[in-house]
Amino acid sequence: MSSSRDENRVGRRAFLRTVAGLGALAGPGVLQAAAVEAAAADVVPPSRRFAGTTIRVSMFDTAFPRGLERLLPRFTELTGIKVEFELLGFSVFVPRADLELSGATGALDAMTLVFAQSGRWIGAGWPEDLAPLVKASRFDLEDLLPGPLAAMRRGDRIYGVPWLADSQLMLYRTDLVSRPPDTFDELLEVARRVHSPAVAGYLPAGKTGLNWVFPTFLYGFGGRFFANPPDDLRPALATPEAIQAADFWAGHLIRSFGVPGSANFEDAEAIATMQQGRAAIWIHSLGQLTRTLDRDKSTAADKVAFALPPRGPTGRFPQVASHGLMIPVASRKKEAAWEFIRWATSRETMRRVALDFQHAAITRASILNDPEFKRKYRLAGTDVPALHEAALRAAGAGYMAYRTVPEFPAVTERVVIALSAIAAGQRSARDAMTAAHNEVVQVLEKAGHRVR
Amino acid sequence: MVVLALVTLGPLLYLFVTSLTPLDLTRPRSFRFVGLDNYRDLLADGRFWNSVQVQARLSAATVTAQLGLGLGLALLLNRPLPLRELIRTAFIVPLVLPPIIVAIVWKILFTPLLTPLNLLTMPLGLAQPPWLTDPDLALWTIVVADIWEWTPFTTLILLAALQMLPAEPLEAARVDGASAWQLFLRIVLPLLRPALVVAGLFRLIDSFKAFPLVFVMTGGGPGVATEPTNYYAYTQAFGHTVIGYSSAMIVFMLAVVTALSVVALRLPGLQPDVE
Repeated sequence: MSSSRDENRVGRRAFLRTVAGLGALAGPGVLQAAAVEAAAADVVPPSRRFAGTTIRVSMFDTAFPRGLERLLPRFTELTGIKVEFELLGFSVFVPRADLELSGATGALDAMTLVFAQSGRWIGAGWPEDLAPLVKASRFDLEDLLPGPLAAMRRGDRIYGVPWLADSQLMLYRTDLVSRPPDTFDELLEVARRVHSPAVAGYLPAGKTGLNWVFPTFLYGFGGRFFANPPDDLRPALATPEAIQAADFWAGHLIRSFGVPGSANFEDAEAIATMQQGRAAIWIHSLGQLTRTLDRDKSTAADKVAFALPPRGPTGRFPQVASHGLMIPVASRKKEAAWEFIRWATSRETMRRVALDFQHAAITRASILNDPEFKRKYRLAGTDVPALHEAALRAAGAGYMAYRTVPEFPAVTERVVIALSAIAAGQRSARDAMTAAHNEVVQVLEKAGHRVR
Repeated sequence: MVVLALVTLGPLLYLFVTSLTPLDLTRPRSFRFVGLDNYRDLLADGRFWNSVQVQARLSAATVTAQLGLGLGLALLLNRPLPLRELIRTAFIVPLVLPPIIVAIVWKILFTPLLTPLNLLTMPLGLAQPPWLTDPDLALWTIVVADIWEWTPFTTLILLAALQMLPAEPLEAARVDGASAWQLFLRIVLPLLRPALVVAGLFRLIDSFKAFPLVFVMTGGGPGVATEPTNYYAYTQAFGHTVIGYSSAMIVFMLAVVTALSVVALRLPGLQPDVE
């Protein structure tokens, strides 16, 4: 099927580069070569040309920006640039970012480039092309993992610098679960066994989880969002596989063994639930899962371990995402903002955040190989960097293509409504997914795609 | 006069013009005239009609309860009570709280793992129902929060009206041997009718703006069980930048609220009617 909106789409070539990059990440040789190259890079040191300037930066809340916020005095000391830094919940950040970007207000100088929105935002021409700034500052691009970076490139243009190569893993309570469930059926069985009024069997990851974790089950049962993205966008939400996935995950696992009310949780509430030890199993992104390890806040820090998400009848499909830092085209302080971005995503800063805080989903190959990093993230006998790498390698097969479709945010909104209704027992999986399918057809047709 | 007209009507005119376009901020050149296409799409949009139903249920339940409770409390506070001034002040507190704070407080109260109600129910072995994610309960949680927040408003209006009631008809009725119930039904209620209509009208119009409660407490869910029209319009405008379609929804809402206001203001009840 063809689209009339090619300018807004990720081209097949760009996409293949992205997934190939994710796959290429796996080889240690590649990592070592990249690290050596990085060390040799002749990076321009931080500049004080913009001393006295104040920039505004907005990011959604995960471990990396939290760590970054603590290190900001160091940035100001180096450059003289002051930073007004705001951290927002994901579901507040995205509409606010949409408003700022579409209104070209110039209120923000640097902000998170959200993976799921990248197709829309880049297609709309909202992020600044950073390539000239990268070149002028001889920014160390080679050390960045190729997959996450490719998701933010279009040809020679670079619209964001990735700070997160997030993989989806499973966190489980070692005091309740002796062996992590490896299949969907085992997951359901373990959740059933440990579920109690005090500790729920499963934490479905809140509102964002409904569109971030469901694909693992959708693909695991052999379903998909679109027939063959990015070229064939016919929706496939009413297939038997998609209905089975929705019924299993929302209709059984969440409805019977989920934390009560959690489908309505923001990420912060989901994190607090796990930190309070109120759930046994949580599938989410590594960047969020590691918040459970914060000993100052978490009563569960010493009794959790990590594993890959379970597999379904057609395989294991951990989701991966890559968020970056971008400069809105309307910013009037682009060069000062670039100073911030290149400091925030530098090897030194990223390594500091990874080692001093809980940010394992780093984007620099040289840090993945760092012995101190490997030591820190060997948790409860689990080699987390190895799991992270395995998830990124799996995604190299290309199943994440659906997320680069510009209309995916509108599509996933319909799917989330369906899943929410199924989890609440309001509609059957068949009814809800069929309704979502029909609405998605309309959404895509309105966007100019031929999908019937 | 011209400035006043521009300030008042300008944004409304822009809203209406936008509703006649497929404006999408991610698409250049989408600000073009397409006639009533958005309105035709609205008529065929099941989610939109669901949002209208949600709004109707929300408005009917909250306005009715706020008038009933407000009247009861006003009658109570109009009597000589110990610590009456303190009680009156305490009743006003929900009214002065920012709506977002009210929403957060009630979200915590209705979240099973967080609510202090667990202190009462846990020892009895009772679990909280998923108040905010049960489709049969979720809308009622918003109704409860809205009633808590705005009943003081109707109480204040009705209390002020009660204190301004003429004493003569009440004294004459008492002399004639009327019971307390007859006094209330035949004298007080008819005299309060204009205040009741005004309070009801204010609350009806305001009930279309219960956005913070929906945004914080349920996000319109589960599914679309608590999604009123303004929230649906918000998700389309700010979640997907589909401004044209969203504007059509808001124009529809504006027309409904205006019509309701005109009808309510023409109600005969605005004039006191004492036999």
